[in-house]
Amino acid sequence: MKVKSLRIPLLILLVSVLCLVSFGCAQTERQGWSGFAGYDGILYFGSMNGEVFAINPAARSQEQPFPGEGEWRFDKVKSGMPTGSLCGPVGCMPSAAAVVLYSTPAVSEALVYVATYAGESGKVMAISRLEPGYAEGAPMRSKGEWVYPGETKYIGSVVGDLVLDGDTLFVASSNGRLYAIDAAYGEKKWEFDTGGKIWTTPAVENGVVYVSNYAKQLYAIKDGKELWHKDYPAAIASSLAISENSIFFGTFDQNLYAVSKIDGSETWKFRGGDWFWAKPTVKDNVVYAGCLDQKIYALDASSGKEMWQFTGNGRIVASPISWGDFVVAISEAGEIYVLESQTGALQRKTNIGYAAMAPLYLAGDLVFVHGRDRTIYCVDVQKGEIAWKFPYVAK
Amino acid sequence: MADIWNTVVLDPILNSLVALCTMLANNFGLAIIVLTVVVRLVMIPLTIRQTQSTKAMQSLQPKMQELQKRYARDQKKLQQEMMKLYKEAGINPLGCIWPMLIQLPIWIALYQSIMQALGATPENLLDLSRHLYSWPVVMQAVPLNEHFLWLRLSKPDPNMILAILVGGTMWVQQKMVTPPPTDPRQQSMTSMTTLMMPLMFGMLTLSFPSGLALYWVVSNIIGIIIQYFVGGGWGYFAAPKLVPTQPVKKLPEAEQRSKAIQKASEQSEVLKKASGERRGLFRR
Repeated sequence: MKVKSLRIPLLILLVSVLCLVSFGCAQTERQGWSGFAGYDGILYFGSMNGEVFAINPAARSQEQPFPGEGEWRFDKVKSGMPTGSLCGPVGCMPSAAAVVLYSTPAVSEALVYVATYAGESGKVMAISRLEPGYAEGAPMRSKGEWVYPGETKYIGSVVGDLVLDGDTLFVASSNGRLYAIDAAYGEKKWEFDTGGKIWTTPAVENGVVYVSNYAKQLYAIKDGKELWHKDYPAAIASSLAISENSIFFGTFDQNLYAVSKIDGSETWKFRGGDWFWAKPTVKDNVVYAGCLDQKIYALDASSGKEMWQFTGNGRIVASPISWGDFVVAISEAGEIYVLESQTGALQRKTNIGYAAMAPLYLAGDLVFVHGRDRTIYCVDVQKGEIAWKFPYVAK
Repeated sequence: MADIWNTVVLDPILNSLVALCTMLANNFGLAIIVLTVVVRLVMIPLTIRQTQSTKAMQSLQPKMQELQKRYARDQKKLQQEMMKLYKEAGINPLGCIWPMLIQLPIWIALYQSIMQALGATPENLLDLSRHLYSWPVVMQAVPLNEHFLWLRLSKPDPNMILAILVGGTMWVQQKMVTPPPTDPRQQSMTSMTTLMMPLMFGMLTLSFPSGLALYWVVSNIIGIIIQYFVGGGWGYFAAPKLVPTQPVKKLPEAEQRSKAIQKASEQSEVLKKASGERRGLFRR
């Protein structure tokens, strides 16, 4: 009798919890999508395991054992991050927040800069480019390494890329603030609060920083002071591209905007079939914009008039890149397209066989792709074939 | 299978939530509350049926206990007699469970909707575009503001206030429909049963997004209101803790059995009548 009276509520509870956990938790796991920064023939990127890698394409093409010359793996990114709490039916226990790298690193002669995403918190780390120091998570000052805001202090998490402009590193944080940091010493020069979450990359030109937030605003800032800001009907989804006197970006209401660099006023807008999530690329007065409706659009930068469009086999999440007279783009499904800039005609395509969301990196005829299978692909776009691949996690 | 689920259940709920959010001055918390009220209103026929079914089952309890005592050593016979009793009273013993199970997909869809709509991680936000309709009212709301009162709707409430509210409202709701034990020996068991679900849900609230917990709280409050009006007041919530053991004067077995069945049949008739009326309405 006692057991029976409990059976029905227990059954319902069990089914509820199982369903909530199995269906409800079927979400996309956060893994990051860092792109590459290159310096002196070495590529630096954040892995989907929360580590920073330096890889030498020459060594990888010869399939040398890792690490080869100039290569390293840095796994101290996770150290010093705040502990959260993991709660369950039996109570709560402390747990370390998973550190993910969405931000593409920036690199200087001496340092590689990375920014972290750990739920609510993030920080910026400068790592010795030739050989990381960091003893027990603390930067090695003798190598010029530093951590901002400190080893046990945090800013909001960082999703957008780091921008190095001269001796200043610009970091946009999800706490709505834009930080200008001295790239050599890691000291804050100034910060500016935009009042809305920032997940995009700032753009810098002639000392003016342009940054958008999720409160539907675009700001122009110089030396920590606002030059102007403009409100738009929808929040800005993509990072900003600057060319001549215009700023180009996509919004969550499926439009691609061209606005004046002087005051943010609208020059034109173009409606796509979904969000323009990828940062547009501008070359020779043509805007190449990848859209989540699986299309790449080429638009006249002055008028917004459509010149051509190309439909891929998946959403276009990463920015297209210009390669001579061609445009190279990748679909989320991992298919790389080489298109004629003038006509959009497909020259060749290569499939890496796995999903890709990170920005592409071009060096000569080689395009580097960070696949979702935790593998780096080097694709020869001239030949249209995969030159080599490097799975940074042993399978 | 996932596509069907998304198209039929998740996407409509998700887009309704986002559209509501735009209409309610970009307040996602209010959107969850309004959607919960709408969902509960749609399910009112089921809830009333569940309430009446529970009531009919309760009226059979004395007889059930007697059967359990009598056939304690013969489970097969006990099951037969119980089914016979249900049949005579015209009650489906699973009648009060189905309405609860039907709510499950709604919980799941709401949980997924909250997590998707808020785009808590960059991947979630990117994935959101797959589920949104191309309505301006939906597009202009993204990304949503997850702040509501002291809560961040995609994260658990750190203050435990929601956990207490979820547990408390659920306990009140259960207490209203759980009859006090007739036997002092069963008192602790009954109390435990009444406490277990609220405690478990309170605990779950600590690890689930507070948007979902907000749905639970509002849903429970509406449940209490419905129970109050359909069940006739506070029910067993206001009743004394322990009802004294049954009458001094014992009725003959046949008379006792027929009285219990009659009472349950009456409840069952009300149920049938109610569902008949609904069918009539639909025919019109």
